[in-house]
Amino acid sequence: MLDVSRGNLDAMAHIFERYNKRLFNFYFQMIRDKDVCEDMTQTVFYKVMRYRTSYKGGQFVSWIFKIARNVFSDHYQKSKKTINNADLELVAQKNEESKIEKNDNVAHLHQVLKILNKEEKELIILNRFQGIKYDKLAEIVGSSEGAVKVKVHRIIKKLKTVYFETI
Amino acid sequence: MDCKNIEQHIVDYIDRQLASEEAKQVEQHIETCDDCKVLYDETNLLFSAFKNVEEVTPSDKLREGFYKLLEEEKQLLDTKVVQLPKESKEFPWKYAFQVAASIVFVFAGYFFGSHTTRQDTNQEISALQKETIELREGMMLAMIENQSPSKRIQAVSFTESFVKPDVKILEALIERMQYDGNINVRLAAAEALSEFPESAIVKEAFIEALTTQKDPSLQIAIIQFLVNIQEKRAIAPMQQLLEHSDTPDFIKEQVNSGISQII
Amino acid sequence: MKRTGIILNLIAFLSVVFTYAQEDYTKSLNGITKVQIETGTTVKIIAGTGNELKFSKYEHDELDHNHENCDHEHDAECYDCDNDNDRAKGLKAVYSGGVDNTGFGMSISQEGSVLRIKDLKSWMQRNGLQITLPKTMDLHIDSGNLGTAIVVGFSSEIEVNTNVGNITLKNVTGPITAHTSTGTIEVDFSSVNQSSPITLSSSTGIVDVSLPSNTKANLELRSTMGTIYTDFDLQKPSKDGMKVVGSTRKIETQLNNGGVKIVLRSSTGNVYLRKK
Repeated sequence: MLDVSRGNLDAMAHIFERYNKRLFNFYFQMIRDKDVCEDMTQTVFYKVMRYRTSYKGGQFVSWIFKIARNVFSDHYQKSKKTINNADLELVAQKNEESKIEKNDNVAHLHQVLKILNKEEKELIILNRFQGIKYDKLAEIVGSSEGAVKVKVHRIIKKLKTVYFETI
Repeated sequence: MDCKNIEQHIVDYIDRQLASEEAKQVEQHIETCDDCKVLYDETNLLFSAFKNVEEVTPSDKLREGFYKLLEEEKQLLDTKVVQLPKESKEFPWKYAFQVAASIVFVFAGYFFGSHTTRQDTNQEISALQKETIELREGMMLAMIENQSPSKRIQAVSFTESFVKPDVKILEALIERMQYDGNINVRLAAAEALSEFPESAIVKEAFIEALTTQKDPSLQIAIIQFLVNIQEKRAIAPMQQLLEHSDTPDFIKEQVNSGISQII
Repeated sequence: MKRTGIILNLIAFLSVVFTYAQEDYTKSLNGITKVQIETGTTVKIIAGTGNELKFSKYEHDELDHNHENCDHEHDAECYDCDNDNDRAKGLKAVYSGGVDNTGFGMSISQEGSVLRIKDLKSWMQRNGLQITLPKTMDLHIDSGNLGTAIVVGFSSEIEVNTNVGNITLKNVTGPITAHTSTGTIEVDFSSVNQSSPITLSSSTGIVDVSLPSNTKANLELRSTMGTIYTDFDLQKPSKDGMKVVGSTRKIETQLNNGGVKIVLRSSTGNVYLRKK
């Protein structure tokens, strides 16, 4: 990535190939709407290009997910203004139903994830689906490693309670 | 280790993040304690549900879009090299803004799909100026959380050129004034915010900061701002500062002269 | 990736083992761009040649105004007081602040490209700490209540925070962000890096800065209750350059047609700006 910040744009293609699926899936776990997720993923890469000079080494994963998070909260703010939450939920459900879930557990998990707020959902998705360790997670959300770990553990506990209550 | 300890360690145990000694202790405990065994099994089940979620592949539209974007960016980079000598007397970052602004301008066209290529030159220029401000705001927001305090101070100083900054910018500055780990960044943010006394959220932030900030230099900056805008709501917290035994004397002097000026 | 991680760990581990018995502790700094140091004692950072970190015996010199705690007859103990404490034979020191993985009462951990060094001993037992690092390494020093920070010969970004202790930086270029509550800040620049701002502030102490005469800068000098002294021919400040904001006196001016922003500030102390 340092290459890109120094102006070598071909390296940008590598970054795209490496991260597009990951970012797309991050968004897809947050809101299950393919079109919106693709748009957001595209915006992230656009921003990476645009702000490439502001990247000064360090953990690239953290940097790109930081941008991804900002893009998502922009989208979140906007969608809150235009459509109300009930509509969002409807879109989400429709998408979910149209997809044949191979695994009951997974479907159940997605139901359970709905009890989390935006911040909790982000943390757990980054940590469990994306396999991002606490130290990098802390960098992404701008907190300390210890605090993030405590939060994640708390969310797991919460999920577990609901998951086994309703199974 | 007791059950409460074990509960805290189970996630790390499954993630294999424990030192071998600790891992052994957890393992032994789970074997003997039924409650914790259930806890362990449940956590494992939950995690396996996470693992079973299949990755979704984005459509080709995403890839196509990206490479189109990349091509355009490359062309811009080429033209940039030709223009360089003309404006090199500027600071690098100013120059960077200009180049980046023109990049954004072209991208903006691409993104909003406006195919009206024969635009009036004047229109283009005013659009470019607007983009430059937006870009500065963008740069400010992108740099404000940089790990380097010097860079964060630089990001704060970008706001000097803003006449009526976006709420987002003000909120970012307020966050720096209140919570930045470096006192010099907090001070720089407080001074930058002092330029926008008409904003209600800025006033609120200063009143709050008066009671939360303990560094004398920052306290002085806050008191001066509140005195300048004649903020009556600041009198009560200022009097509290006078009563505090850990408030340094020279701060008390500032507070006293400040209160007399507000009244 | 994982394998290189293991190898690196192994190398780090071996270097700990091999250096344990020696007087100096060294560690390679591959992949590290910034070193963060937390200590309660006087810390002196000097620039070395290799890409490594070295702890060594604290050597007093003219930059060091604060060695009254140090017993010169026990120079070795000065570096690490209970190194040869017989009572501790066969026992291991344990610390509340973290795990000693250096053998010197220091905890070292890596977060991304940042290396964190945490001093586990109290300032009562650690009379000075001397660390050698490459001159391009970014530094972040936090010295607790009484610690003084001394940095010599670095061309990287430096961030220093102290409470009572002085901050002395010599032969540096910036960017620098330094703050002390009651200490003196003394900075001698060899040249001034134009990339991002320099900010030096003391709440009640003195700020004393020497700059090369050809330095390009946008200067901002502030003192609430102290006086500002300089031998630079400051360009006549614009009308509002000398404005009194509340009771803060603020001088804004340019050196050699302007350049990087340099802010020097003290609430009650004086500010000295010297030409060299």
